[in-house]
Amino acid sequence: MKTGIFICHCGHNIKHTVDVKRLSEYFKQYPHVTVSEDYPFVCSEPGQDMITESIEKHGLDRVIIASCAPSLHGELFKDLLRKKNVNPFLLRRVSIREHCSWVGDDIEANTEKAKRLILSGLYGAAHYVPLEEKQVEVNKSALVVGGGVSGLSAALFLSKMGMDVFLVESKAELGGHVRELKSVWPSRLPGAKIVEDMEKELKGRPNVEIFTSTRLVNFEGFFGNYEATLETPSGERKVTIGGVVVSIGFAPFDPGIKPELCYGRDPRIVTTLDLERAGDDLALPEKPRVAVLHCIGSRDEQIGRSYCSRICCINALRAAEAVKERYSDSYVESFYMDVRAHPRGGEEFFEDTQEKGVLFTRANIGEIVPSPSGVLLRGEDTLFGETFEREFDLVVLSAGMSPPETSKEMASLFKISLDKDRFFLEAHIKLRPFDTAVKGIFIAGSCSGPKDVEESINHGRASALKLYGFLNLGYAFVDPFISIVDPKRCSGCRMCEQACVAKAIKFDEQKRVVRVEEAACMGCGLCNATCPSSAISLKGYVDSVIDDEISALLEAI
Amino acid sequence: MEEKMEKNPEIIGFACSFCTFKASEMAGSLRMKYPEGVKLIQVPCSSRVDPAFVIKAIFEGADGVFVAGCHPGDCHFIKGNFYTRRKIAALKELFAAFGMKEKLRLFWVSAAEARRFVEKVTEFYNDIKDRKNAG
Amino acid sequence: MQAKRITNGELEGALNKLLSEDQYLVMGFEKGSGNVYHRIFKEKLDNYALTNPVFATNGALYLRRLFAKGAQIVLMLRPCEIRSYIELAKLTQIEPADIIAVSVDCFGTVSSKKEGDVPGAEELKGLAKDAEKARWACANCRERRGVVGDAGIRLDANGTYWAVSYTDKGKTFLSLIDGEAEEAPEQMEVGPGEVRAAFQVDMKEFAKDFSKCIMCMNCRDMCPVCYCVDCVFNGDEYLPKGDALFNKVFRTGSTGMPRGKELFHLIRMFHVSQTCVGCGACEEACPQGIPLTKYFKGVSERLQGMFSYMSGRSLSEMIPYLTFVEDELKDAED
Repeated sequence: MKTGIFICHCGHNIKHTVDVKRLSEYFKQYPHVTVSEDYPFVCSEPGQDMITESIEKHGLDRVIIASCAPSLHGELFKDLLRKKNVNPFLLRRVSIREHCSWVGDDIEANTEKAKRLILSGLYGAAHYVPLEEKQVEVNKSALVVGGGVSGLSAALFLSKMGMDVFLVESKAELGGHVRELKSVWPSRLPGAKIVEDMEKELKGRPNVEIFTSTRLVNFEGFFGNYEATLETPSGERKVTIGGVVVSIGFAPFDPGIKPELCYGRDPRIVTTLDLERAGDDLALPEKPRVAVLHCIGSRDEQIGRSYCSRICCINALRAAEAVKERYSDSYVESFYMDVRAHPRGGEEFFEDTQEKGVLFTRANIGEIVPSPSGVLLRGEDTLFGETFEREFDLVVLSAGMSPPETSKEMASLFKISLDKDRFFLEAHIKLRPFDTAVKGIFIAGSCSGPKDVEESINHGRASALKLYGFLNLGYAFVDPFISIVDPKRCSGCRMCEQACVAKAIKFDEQKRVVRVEEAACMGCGLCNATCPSSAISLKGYVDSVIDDEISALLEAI
Repeated sequence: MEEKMEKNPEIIGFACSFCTFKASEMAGSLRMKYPEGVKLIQVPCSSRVDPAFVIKAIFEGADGVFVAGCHPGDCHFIKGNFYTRRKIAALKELFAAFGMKEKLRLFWVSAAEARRFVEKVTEFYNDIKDRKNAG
Repeated sequence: MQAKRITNGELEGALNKLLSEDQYLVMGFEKGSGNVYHRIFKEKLDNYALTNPVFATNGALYLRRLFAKGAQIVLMLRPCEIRSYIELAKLTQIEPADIIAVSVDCFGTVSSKKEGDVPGAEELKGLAKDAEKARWACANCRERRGVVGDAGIRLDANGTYWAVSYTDKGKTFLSLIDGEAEEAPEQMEVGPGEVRAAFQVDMKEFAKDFSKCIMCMNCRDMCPVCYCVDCVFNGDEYLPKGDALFNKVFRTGSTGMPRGKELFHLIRMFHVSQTCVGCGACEEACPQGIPLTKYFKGVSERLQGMFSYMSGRSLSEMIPYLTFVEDELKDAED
């Protein structure tokens, strides 16, 4: 066995709290370690060259890369091995950045920890065997779930790139929440126009099939060959697709969750959306007194929504501006925590609104009391520390975004994760913001956290681009991490068969041993842990790998 | 040196790839700190953790072992962690019968819960450390 | 409880009637010259004994990997042996379709390792309560009543034997016995096992008890529910041998031998935690006199209790590690 160990400095990220030189020197003494090097950026081109050259020069059959977390640069490093005809599953990644240099400050302690971690990689990798990667054909088609702006833009992009697109919308009409907006800031275009333009273009494309009033009821398969079952008004329909963009949007926050807002109990208390819908029908006096309340359902620990919904400040400004424009003699006061007018032009818009005469008061509203003469607001001015009481003819609530109602259901269908607020979670907040943990399933728009219209459209297009990159290859490798049975050691007790969640284990009545249906195996390893003699084992995570990793982490160096 | 070795416990954690290991990656990216005595072994699913691994880790010198996976119902492999829960709960009962209950813990940490991960492992580490130093 | 009264010789008559048909076998005990041992009878019973006051092995051990179809086998064994058989049937190590399992009330047993005479009939009845004579496993047995399997042979307080059926196969067995079913008395000689406090030791005591272990693994080999064709401890992962051992020594430092005693016993304890019937066959097999039953029975009863499971109680109960309830074990998480 010839092992090469490559330790990355990651610039200063690893080097500043791990003595990488000492590590590379230390591992040189190990038997079977042919090369042990440290390098500023292993993922850089010269870094990659160093690895490929070492493989060639020394005939390495195990490569250990101690660098960032294994979820990053995975394919890049695997490809280096493939290029040199070394099985890519003889590569071992050791995370000494996310799990070592970044979580501790003491260089001595970190270096010792890194030593252990690399050692466990070394011992574990010693038990690796070449695994056969199956190449499967990828369907050049995509499912877009949700027909709001992000879904529409994703569908449009994919279709233009030549992918077959199935767009699924649960409502009868495409367009989502944007359709209801009268004027979308900053372009001031009607929301309906934005979505109708996209819809029209989409409907004219031959490779797009649109399903409205349709629910996704089942989803299975693997990247390149997913199968989705749709419940359409005209019956059940199964489609085979290569990948998915999930863009199921958001649910508007229901102010009824906070009874103290009196929403729904008094017609003078409305949301920004209600205001938009009502338009001219608002029966307001000539000189109306209007209050606009920010952060409804956002940044509110009491109801478990600590996040900022990002759209409501602009919405509040728009509402205040709209009232001011219609009733020039109105008294408009905006009660805010902070004004986060973050989109481009937002700050200027904030200033404009102030100039138009809207008053801004930094306040906590404690109580809303409807009375015949008006709606009374009681609160505390948090800048002056004084309490106040004011009466208004109209109270506008700038409500935030809640996660989509079906987020939990969709997450379990697609086996993707949710964040603590029940929006979808991306694979990596910076490096893989559109991906999920499942290959070929991307998230777009506000279902992955509050976004405005512009961001949603961009997000949809970006996810579509990422998916297109995967689909356009035309093939994919299937992870070979599935279970395998050693029939000589199998006692035929069928424990694994009973426990298997994927029902991938079948019993052979003649030989009285079990076998694994490879296509069905999900690779969780439950069978391996259930079998008392480990006669069934999960490739890549066999007992000896994990056992030796445990030993390496604990035994004396 | 001798004293330092004695005082700092070694904790082995089995972390599932889809939740806890992801959370630990995020904890690193966010530069959250936790003791270097906590070392993780990545497994595809918490249900891959054979109780024998835990027992082995204890006899190889670990002062504490934790098994961590997705919250029940959120398993990437649909139901794997329900089996984990049964097995590890039983193993904890076995440890309790031998008066070493404190050495094994089971955590549910989702991919988004980096802070929770850090809190859980730090709390475990400190508890083991206190016990170690007390006697 | 409906049951059939068995008078002297009637049971043997019924079994002989079965044996006269070719495909039938009876597994039970034989009165030998010395101790009484298991025997598989063919054609007719010979020197048959209903009970056996000496425990050497668990009879279910011999039934492992019995898949024959067509041959009808009647088991006339102790409740602990029938319970092991049921666990093995769940683990498809035995094909239960053609087996009629009859559990016979057990009064407790003495160790086959003990010198001295086999207790007589009168002495036998109080044996389990005689902690001096009885094996620890019997004195602390959970289920000595013949209430498991397809049928049971019970002894009432007046000394009359009763045959009771629990399944359809049990009914078939009962139909061989002459006479009509009648109401059996409530009070039986053997009562239910006592509920004991949860097993608790500390690692010091454990280490002391197992210090004598020579790692012969007889305990594993004689355990009826340790059924694997190739044990994990045969490999190098947990108990390195030869090169692997020396490699380990080079890595870590000197080692005492045999190594891995605690590891072996604890892992085996977990492996059999849901299937152990507490028969004590392991302790019987141990050449070093380690009180294995105390540990294995104690731990398994604790772990089975978590899931309200009892090994060998019923063929339809699923081994707890192979199933789950979504809403359970709320306090499992720390």
